[in-house]
Amino acid sequence: MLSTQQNMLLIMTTIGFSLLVNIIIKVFFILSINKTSKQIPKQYKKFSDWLVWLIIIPFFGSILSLITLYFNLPNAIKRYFPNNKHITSICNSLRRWSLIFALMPVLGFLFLFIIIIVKIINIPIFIYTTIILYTIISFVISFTFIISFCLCWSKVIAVRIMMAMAQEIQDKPELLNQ
Amino acid sequence: MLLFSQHQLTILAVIGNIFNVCLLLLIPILFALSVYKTSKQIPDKYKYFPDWFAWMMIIPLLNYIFAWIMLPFGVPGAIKRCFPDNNYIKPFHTSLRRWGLILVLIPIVTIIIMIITMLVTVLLVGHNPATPSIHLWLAIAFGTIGGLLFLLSLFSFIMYWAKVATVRPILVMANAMQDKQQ
Repeated sequence: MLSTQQNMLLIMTTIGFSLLVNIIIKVFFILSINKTSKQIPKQYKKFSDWLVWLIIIPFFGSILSLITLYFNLPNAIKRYFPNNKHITSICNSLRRWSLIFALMPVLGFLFLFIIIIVKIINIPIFIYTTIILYTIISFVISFTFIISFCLCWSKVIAVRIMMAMAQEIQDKPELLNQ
Repeated sequence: MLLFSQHQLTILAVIGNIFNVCLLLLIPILFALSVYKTSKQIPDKYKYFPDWFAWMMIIPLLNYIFAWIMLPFGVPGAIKRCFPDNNYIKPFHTSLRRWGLILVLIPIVTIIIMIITMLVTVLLVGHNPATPSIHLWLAIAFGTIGGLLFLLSLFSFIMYWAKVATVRPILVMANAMQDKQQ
């Protein structure tokens, strides 16, 4: 058996390692968003580009990603290509999934607070039902969070390539009349 | 400092695990849906295999054959035939083929390694119970290889899914542009 000190060390190491992995993955995600954001001229954007780096903050990063992924990037792209219905639809879905990506951790914390409050009040039946609900809901939340993160990332990459294609057609309209 | 009694914890674990298993069964269905939706974007004349082969990937045991057909050859081959000269789509079908091949080759590699493990165990140390340390080292070695293979398969699964989801809107747009050209 491990002593209390060893247990604490193990827990701290696990938390530190998961935070490190979290930050490394987020750096690549942010670089990807930056690459997409660079393709849009400045006059279409309402916020500056460096706000994307707020995503790197642990625990609160995903709610701060609303600034870029919900308000800044999709609206700027829509203003840049107002008549392209494919790009508009993918921007709409990026907005939807980024909202889910931002709200899932908030929901998780909310349920955690509810559980702590119920524990403090200490009514046995309530504890039982809330904990059962929490195990189920926390799994759903983490599952949805990972899926929405992957989908946000894939939409950011897809919109970058679609913008490049639309740009090429705008620059050389004779490609359409070959 | 116990938050719950043993009884409560047992019930929690049982309910949580049943629910988690149900949710994990969802993953193949969602993956098949994703592959099907991407495959549907390509016109029928470019396809070697029908779209509904993607749904066969849900069935246990049979799914491996259909995964061999669809993942490395069906979807990327159709994309390649449909858009042979599009520079934006080219990296996608090469990477889809690569990750799909890795995904379907890993079970074969695992089986080969298992056979090698058995042969080594039987032939080298099977008749000599006096050397338990060799057993230990073999177990550690093959366990490490198995763990790495599992990580690789997980990573290639995520990469394949992400690529399939990313290429779908691009295919829609490229199709629309091709229709305009004609």
